[in-house]
Amino acid sequence: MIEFKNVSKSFSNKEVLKHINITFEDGKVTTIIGPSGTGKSTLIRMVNRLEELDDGEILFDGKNIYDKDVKLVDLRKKIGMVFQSFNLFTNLSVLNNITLPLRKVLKLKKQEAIDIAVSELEKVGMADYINSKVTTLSGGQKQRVAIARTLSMNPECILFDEPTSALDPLMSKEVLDVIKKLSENERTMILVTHEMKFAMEISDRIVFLNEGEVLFYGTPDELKSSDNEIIRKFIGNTLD
Amino acid sequence: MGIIFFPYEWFFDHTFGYIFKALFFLLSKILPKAFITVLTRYGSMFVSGIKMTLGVSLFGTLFGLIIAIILASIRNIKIKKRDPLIKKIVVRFFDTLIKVYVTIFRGTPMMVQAMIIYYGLVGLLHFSPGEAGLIVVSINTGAYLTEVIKKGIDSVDYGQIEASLSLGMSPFLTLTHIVFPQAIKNQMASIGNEFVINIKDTSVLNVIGCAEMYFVLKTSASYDYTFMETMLVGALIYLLLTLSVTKILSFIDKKLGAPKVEILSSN
Repeated sequence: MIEFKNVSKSFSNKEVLKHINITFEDGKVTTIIGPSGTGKSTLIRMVNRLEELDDGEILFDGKNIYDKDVKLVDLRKKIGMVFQSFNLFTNLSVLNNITLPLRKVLKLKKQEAIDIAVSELEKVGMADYINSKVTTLSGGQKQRVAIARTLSMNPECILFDEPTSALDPLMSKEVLDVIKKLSENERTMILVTHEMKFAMEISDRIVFLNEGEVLFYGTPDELKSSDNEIIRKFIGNTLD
Repeated sequence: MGIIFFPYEWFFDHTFGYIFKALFFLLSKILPKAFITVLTRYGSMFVSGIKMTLGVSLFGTLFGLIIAIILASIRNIKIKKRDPLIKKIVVRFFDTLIKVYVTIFRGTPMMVQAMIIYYGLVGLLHFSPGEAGLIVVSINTGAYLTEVIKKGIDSVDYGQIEASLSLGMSPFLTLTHIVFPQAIKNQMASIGNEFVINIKDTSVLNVIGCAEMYFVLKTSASYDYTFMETMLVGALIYLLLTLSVTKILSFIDKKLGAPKVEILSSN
């Protein structure tokens, strides 16, 4: 379970997150939605400390992730992340993108790492590209490899930071299908997306952020029946 | 040069040494008579000069690259708001120190640096001219390559660094496996240029008595006042060295998919 308690964050004196209190439940898919520039990505990046908070605390399984005895490496082993711009290592092949962290972080033997890589690439339909250079792949293929890389570390929670916003509709579908399949497992997933229909379909909980504040937290059905004007306007526009 | 140079010297003597001796023999058969005297009398001295020039340039560039990688890494340490004050002070201190080092060594001639290091430290540390030459070239190259490697590090997409960290890789693993391979590849042309420049610039080490190519040329020419012929042979040798090294580096760059190496005049 991941809990945000009174979390605030500013960039150059502009407060992007204001006293956020949310709980991301174990085994649930929570999607963060809201207009652009409302701090969605900042919020998700705080969970694995790619962004540092200014105030408040974030608890992971009851433990403050900013405590001095919490090792970043250990925290990040448990919380994987998929990025908007894929962020594959361009100096490595598809296979080595996956085996490098397995060998260096989880200290697996070469063959064990290869076996896991093959298995995860099969799950995302990319096994045929195992020896390809990542620079030769399409956007959708890159994102599927990035998902396989994150999955291979077997994290307790996966963060998706707008995983389809750099993709055209066809490639988005490839990636959304993979994420949908993943959501069927009992794994904690936190997703930032503008794909509203998709969010409504796969999410157990929805967080609506507006100007750095949580405007709504609940199920997709509760969101649809919200009478808040900002929310109605937003989902009205995006679901049409 | 002892331990560092011994395998290199052995390798050179058994490969390039023979090639250059054969080349000088061949040239002595086809060039005018005045050159024949120079080549037959001083050919073996030229080979030893080439060995020193190539050795000091090669190892100087390699050691300079190691210095540059370490210093560029320190310069790339990001200070976060939450970092303790002592860390902030130490990082700022070293950052300033590195900037001062780079400014001094880029802003003064290598000849002056050689004189200061050799005559200033020889009494304390008992360097041979060759060792002092290697130290000078390494430190000088380190100063030039620090900025080159820093640019190379900056050119690596920050998203890849974040991805590596988010996978649980430590900053050190991220640097060694993701950042440096790409930074060095991106800056391979500049590193190669530095090596080619060093082949020519090591000629200034003659002021401290380092028996590199120019020192050998100057010494042999002064024996029988054949300056014109000796220096023309010297120019040919330098051209041969820089052209062949450039070709080799271009081949490596092509294999790595890095930008092309070109001969630059000097630092």
